[in-house]
Amino acid sequence: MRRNAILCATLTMCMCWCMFGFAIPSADSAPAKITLTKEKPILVDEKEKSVSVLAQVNGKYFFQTTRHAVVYSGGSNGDKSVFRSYANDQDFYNALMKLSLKAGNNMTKENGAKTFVEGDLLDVTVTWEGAKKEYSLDEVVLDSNKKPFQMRFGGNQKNALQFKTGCLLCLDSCPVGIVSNANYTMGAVEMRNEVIFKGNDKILPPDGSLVVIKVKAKS
Amino acid sequence: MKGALIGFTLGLILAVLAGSWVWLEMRANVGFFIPAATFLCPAFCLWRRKTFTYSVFLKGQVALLIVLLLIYNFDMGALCAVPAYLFREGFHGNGLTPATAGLVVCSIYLGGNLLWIFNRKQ
Repeated sequence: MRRNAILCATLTMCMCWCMFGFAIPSADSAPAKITLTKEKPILVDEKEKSVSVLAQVNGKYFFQTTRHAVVYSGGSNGDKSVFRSYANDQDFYNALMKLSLKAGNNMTKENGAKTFVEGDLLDVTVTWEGAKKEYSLDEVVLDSNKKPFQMRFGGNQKNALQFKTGCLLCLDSCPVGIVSNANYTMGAVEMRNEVIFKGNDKILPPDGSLVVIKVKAKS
Repeated sequence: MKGALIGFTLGLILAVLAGSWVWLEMRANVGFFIPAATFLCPAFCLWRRKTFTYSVFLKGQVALLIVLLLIYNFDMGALCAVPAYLFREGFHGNGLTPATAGLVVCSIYLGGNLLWIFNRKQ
């Protein structure tokens, strides 16, 4: 009787693990027809006044919360964001400066918990091969409080060089990220649990998919 | 081998629990619990001459499933995906797709369960 119970339990376990193993979707193996490449992952369009960055979806953050939207894959926070960028933070900063955008440069580690990022207001969109349209950041990254993002050009070039986190776009006001969300101060996600941010797996393509993130001044 | 399977399960449970602490998850490779426990557990077994029964392994798997269900609010997608992502992170396998990592985790448990039963019969 006991032996049968153990065998049943084992078979149930095996069936569960079989089911779980095949349930995770993968990105298509065919290369995406995106004009940006890993060798040239950033494009400044001075006519449109936009900066486009090539990135890769990190599916882990469909299920776990994060405070990073886009981080350079070679930075120390490279695996902690919804999108892993192939372009680094310095190139991203320089690209935004090329568009004559004004950086806030008002954030420091000391004032971070009480300060909202300043700087020019930006529109951030995400698209990929086969996407129905260019999705706004609000559609692809979910805010548990449902506040529309207020992405601002924080600047922070000096801090970015010093801390080497690789942060391009942060989801709360950040003294290191080049662009931040002015809705929340630093610590809102991980210290005070004010908000939860996750990638939207109902819209975004699977983990590993290439996407293009476009940033331009909000009109 | 049995110690490694128990360690792997323990590591996965610890990684899931650590991953739910956002502050830590943002700063550390929480998946590291998996390889650490996988190697430390058999070492502990050798040192203390301890052996584990199959019921311990079975209970560990049930505990892992319960922890995943509770932390991820019964999200079946998370149940499938989170062990794969943590395994990939823990073993620095960024080249692995999550589907491949998931299959590796499932193979470990599938093989582990069958191996344990087969050894019992012998």
